[in-house]
Amino acid sequence: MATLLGKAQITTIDGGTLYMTAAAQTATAKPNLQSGSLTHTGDVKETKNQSGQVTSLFNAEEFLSCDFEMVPEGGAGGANTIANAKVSATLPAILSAVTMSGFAVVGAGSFTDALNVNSTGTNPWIYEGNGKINLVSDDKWTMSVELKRRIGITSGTAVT
Amino acid sequence: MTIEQKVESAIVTFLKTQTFTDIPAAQIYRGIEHDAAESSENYTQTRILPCIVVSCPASTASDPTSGNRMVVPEISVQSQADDSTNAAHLTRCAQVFAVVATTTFAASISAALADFYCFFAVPADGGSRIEERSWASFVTMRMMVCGADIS
Repeated sequence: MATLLGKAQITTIDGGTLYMTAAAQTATAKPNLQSGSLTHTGDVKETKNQSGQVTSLFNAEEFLSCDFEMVPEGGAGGANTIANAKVSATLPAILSAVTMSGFAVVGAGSFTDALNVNSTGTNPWIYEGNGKINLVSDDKWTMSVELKRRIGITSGTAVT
Repeated sequence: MTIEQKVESAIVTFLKTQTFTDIPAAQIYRGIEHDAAESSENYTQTRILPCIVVSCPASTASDPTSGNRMVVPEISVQSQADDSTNAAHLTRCAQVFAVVATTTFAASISAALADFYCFFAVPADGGSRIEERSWASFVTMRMMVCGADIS
């Protein structure tokens, strides 16, 4: 019998991977994810009655956004080289589909597995810009990216 | 058993399942540096060198309500400086620290003791010092633990 209590909690993001470019996936130069933030959002429209009270709501959109803070590194599954660290630091092309895998499976609205989806999967994560690389003179570089996953975009294949 | 004792016991139990070239399981100790005062006739018998000492002197709450605790235990390897070269000591340390700084360490120590769970364990600080006439090198692990089995 337990004499000290504790609670089952989800800890760390160990095992979770983010491949932002095909080159990174080939080199397995995964960035070292430090923290992330998942947000679930709709585009909710309100209808008011003649007294100004909201009497109905309508959702026109559903999407997830995920922001990551990370350290670009070589050696995370690939050769431990500065060259691979630079591959890891590469920001993808705007509107690229990226791959996230190995994260804890959690649901968010219509998304039964909110985090994990391959770039070729259904409703992939899309990089829409706002990536940032922090150049530091006396410490390691860090970087951040913002990704979005929209319920209406079912494929990451560009229409040409 | 306090959570600090559980942390020490779990790590010691795990380390005793590992094979080290010249540190037998009987020379893997738990707790504070010496059980007996230096003036005691038992003093020289409390730690047979070379040895591993696992010490977890304190814990803090990871949050106000869960009961989960943050701990930073120290795992130190000690060698008699009179009959061991520093190089031999460092080789001994490398063997020990290699089984600690692994991605499976948290799971291993969770399995080593009943009513104990380690959520994660990551290496924190490390270093070396001289204690009496012994080399002592240590690594600390930052860990989140609780005194219950979590599945």
